[in-house]
Amino acid sequence: MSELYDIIVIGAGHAGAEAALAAARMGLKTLVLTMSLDSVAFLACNPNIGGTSKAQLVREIDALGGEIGRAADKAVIQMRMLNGAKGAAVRSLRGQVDKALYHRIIKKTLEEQSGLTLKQDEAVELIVGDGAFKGVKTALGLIYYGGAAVIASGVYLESRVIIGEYSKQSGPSGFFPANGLSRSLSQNGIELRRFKTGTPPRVHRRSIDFSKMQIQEGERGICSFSFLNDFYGVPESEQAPCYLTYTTRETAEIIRENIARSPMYNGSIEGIGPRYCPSIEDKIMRFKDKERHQIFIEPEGLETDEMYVQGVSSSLPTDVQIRVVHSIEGLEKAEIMRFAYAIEYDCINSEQLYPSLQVKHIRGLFTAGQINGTSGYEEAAAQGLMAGINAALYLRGLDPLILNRNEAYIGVLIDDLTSKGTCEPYRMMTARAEYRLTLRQDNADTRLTEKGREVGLVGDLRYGKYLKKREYLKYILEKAEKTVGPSAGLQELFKNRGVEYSKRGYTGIELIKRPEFSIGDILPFLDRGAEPPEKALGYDRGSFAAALAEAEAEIKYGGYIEKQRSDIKSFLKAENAKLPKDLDYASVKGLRLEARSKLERIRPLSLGQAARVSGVSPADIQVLMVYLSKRKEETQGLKGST
Amino acid sequence: MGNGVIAARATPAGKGGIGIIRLSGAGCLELAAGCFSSHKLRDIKKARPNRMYFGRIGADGIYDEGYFVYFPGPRSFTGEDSAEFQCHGGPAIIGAVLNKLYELGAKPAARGEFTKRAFLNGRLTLSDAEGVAAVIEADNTAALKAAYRLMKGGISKEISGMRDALTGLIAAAEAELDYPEELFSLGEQNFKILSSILSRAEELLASAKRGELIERGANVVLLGAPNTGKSSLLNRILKRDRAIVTDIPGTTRDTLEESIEYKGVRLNFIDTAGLREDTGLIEKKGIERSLEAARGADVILYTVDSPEYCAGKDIRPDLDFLREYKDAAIFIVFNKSDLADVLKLCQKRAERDAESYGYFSVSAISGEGIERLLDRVFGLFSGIGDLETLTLNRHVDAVRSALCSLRSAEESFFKEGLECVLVDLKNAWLALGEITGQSVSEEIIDKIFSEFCLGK
Repeated sequence: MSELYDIIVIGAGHAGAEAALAAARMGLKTLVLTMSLDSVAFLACNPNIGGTSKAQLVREIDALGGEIGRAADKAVIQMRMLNGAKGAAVRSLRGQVDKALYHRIIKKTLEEQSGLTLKQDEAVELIVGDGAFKGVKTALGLIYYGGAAVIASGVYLESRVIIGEYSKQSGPSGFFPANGLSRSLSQNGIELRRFKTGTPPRVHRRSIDFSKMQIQEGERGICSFSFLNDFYGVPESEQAPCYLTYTTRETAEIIRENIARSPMYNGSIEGIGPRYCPSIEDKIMRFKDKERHQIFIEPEGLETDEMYVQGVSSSLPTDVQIRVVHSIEGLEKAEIMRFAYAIEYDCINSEQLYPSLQVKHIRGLFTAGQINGTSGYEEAAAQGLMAGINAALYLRGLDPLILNRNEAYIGVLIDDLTSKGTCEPYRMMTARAEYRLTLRQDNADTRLTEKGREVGLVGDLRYGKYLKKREYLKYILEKAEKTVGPSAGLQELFKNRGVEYSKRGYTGIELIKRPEFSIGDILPFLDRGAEPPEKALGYDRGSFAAALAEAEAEIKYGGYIEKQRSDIKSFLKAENAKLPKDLDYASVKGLRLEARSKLERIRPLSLGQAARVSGVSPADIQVLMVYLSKRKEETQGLKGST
Repeated sequence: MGNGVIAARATPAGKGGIGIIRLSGAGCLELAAGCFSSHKLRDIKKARPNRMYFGRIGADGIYDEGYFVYFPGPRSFTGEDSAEFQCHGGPAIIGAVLNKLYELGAKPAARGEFTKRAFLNGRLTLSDAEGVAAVIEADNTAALKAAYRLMKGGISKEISGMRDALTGLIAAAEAELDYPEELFSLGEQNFKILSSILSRAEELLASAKRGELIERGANVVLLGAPNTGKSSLLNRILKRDRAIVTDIPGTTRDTLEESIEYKGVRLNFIDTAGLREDTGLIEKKGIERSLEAARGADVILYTVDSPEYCAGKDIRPDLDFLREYKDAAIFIVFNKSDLADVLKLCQKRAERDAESYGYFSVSAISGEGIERLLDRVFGLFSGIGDLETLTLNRHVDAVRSALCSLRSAEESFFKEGLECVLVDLKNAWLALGEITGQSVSEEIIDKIFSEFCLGK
């Protein structure tokens, strides 16, 4: 028996869900295969969404018409703004989410999506013909044909869970592993590698002594993830608190005594783990001088007593884990409900992908999420969305949607993966973005809504809000440029903030730029006061507040954004210097051997991308530039002579 | 690409003792055969690598005797098969050989093309290539030393060191931003690191001034009242009659400049019109020029007529006036010691007047004391080629741009958010990387190859 679809998505985690929704919403007949319907959008590790750089990703996905932001807003049980006291570009929303609720919301969204079929079955074999994807065979013996596929297999491929001496073929949290698809990938020339990640223990709420910990309440009055939602965070009454505690000297001693029993140290784990969220044994062994390490206790949801012990990721044996947990302040009597475990899995070498996330040598086959070597829900969702969009565009015969590094964190993420590759689980960081000041969570809609609209994922409601915000923004910036007349109120404000007042008069921009004032302080003094242009636009409180936030960031960063503008210009020049598709790197004299083989492998689309390929040195790029200009001269010379 | 044979004279144009013609590219041996014959090498294709063959060089009736050398690729300078003719440097013979080679199919080498080929064939890194350019441009020993060190990567090392420190600083700041819950508070500590990188950049830029000195030489300006013997002094130093010497005060109406290489350092002596005391120093254009010259001076030799001085002439007003030239080293030169020796007649007073300035008793006529004076001047600049000096404009530009970003970062460090400070820090980091080749922008290659003066 066989069925025919446009797009087949393998996996219904954070990448798979976004890919499937995007494809179906773009009007393509979409099938999602998941090994368990109970693991749809499963938050296998930490119970939060957002955080530094990840909140930016969530907002970008949302602006393009993705799902993660909307779902997070519904499932959130605590909201905070990280780096709240710092500048807008590094401020990041983080929400604690109810895991079970989040799973149900996404599952329901998939179920309700027209044109989308959700099925529980395991894809075990790819059908590929003439260098193009044709279909999949499942474990239950079914065959599904399709024009394109997105593989979003997460950490399930040949996965193995390790706790001390215990080791078992298993997916995360007791779900089945996917055995079979890896072999099919290999057979189709896709290079596999072995990565590792881990998760900390969960303990029972009633066994925790919270009196020894610092309570961390959520914040009120902060915005939501999705640009569609105007509510301001979670009401205070519904904010579930987190708690902060610390490891002790005893913790370190226990780990040092038992380090030989850690599979990561005794060599029984071969996979490469992330430096970004090290296991507790890593932290203790590598940072010997640090007296204590922070541990956060976070609720897994409102309807469960499981508490997540952030900071104690480990693969130590259970008896050591118990002693480690009990050595932490306030966890002396903690009942461990789930032990920490390490999980090893197959992923692919992302250098084999085009920036569209299509496998270079198999047309129509896309991959997204942890299979590409990343870690994190947001990173997965971002790739899922882009793979879904690009699979749909591919089937329509259109150019892929590729975001540049100056346009979105999503662009940085995918470019890093496809140009530089990664040799450890890749986590997004704001430090990876060259143009961080312009890639903010407050302007993700300004950057990307039009693009989402163009591919057909942005509906009228979102687009209308975006247009309204744009109008508001223009209006605010125009007002801010004008001179603010001297007034008693302004003088008073200066006095309150300890700033010397001069009657010479200021422009709104000058005032907003000052670190002592916020845009809210200055707004009442601007021309015609704080009133938004109601008559012309119809007042929308959420959009106006969003426009204010963006205007403030643009004004406060003004000088620096200006500085970066010329950098972006030269960056784009290199991006637009396209490399000929037929470029024979072997004939480029002067390229070092390593660079030549890397370039032949990656086949970068532009000079800019070539410069980011690891193993390609600046000298190699100079060689390429000379070669290209020579080649251009020759072609022009040829034209001239004929 | 570009595998045709190129040929050009490698020694400077004009008459020279030796002229070298260089060829590079596959097939250069065959072309060379058209201009060379030798008993020792009947078939040029049998030439052994890196060996000099004596024979007859030339074409079309113009012949000379000289050497032929073959450097097979890839271990030649350009990485291609190359050859050289070494003959006398007359334009006729060089022209005859080159014309023959061009006739046989060689192309005239473009500016910097030999080095460009070497670079493209992986024989040189960008910094190496610049080093080669600098060696060729170097016209004195100190400059040659600096250029040699550039080739050996001394500056790269210094800049890499700074860049590494900056990398650490940037990483620390990034960690603070990306891990807000780890409660980093590295502010003060980071600021200290930034300040130390900043002062290293400043030192490096100061060394750029020394670098400039290496290339252009030190400007030594002769200043003093008319008829104190400035021109005679210059002639003595140059060991020939360059300046017109008369005993009429004010003979030198304009400034004269002559350079010597003294123990490896280039010294540019600038003779000036005399400063007239009776007219309050400035009278004529020539004197204005004297003062202008003094402003660009690295050293001022203030000449004094010893007989007049010993007779009681007061030089203190002039010395006060010289205080203005803070950037220059100033020496008082009591000339005409053959007529009246200050050291014997009024040393105490001379010492008092000279204050912190060094003073010398010399005679332009007998040459007495001149060597000592030159040694002292030389002493100011000796070892100059041994310092880490920035000699190339590209390097100076990059350090200047890094310094500008670092200053901006320092200024905003406590005023602006870290994410803003990082914009400047990263720009500085990129600028430094351009020198060591750790980052790249398209402008670099254009700039280098346009600044090359090689192969021709």
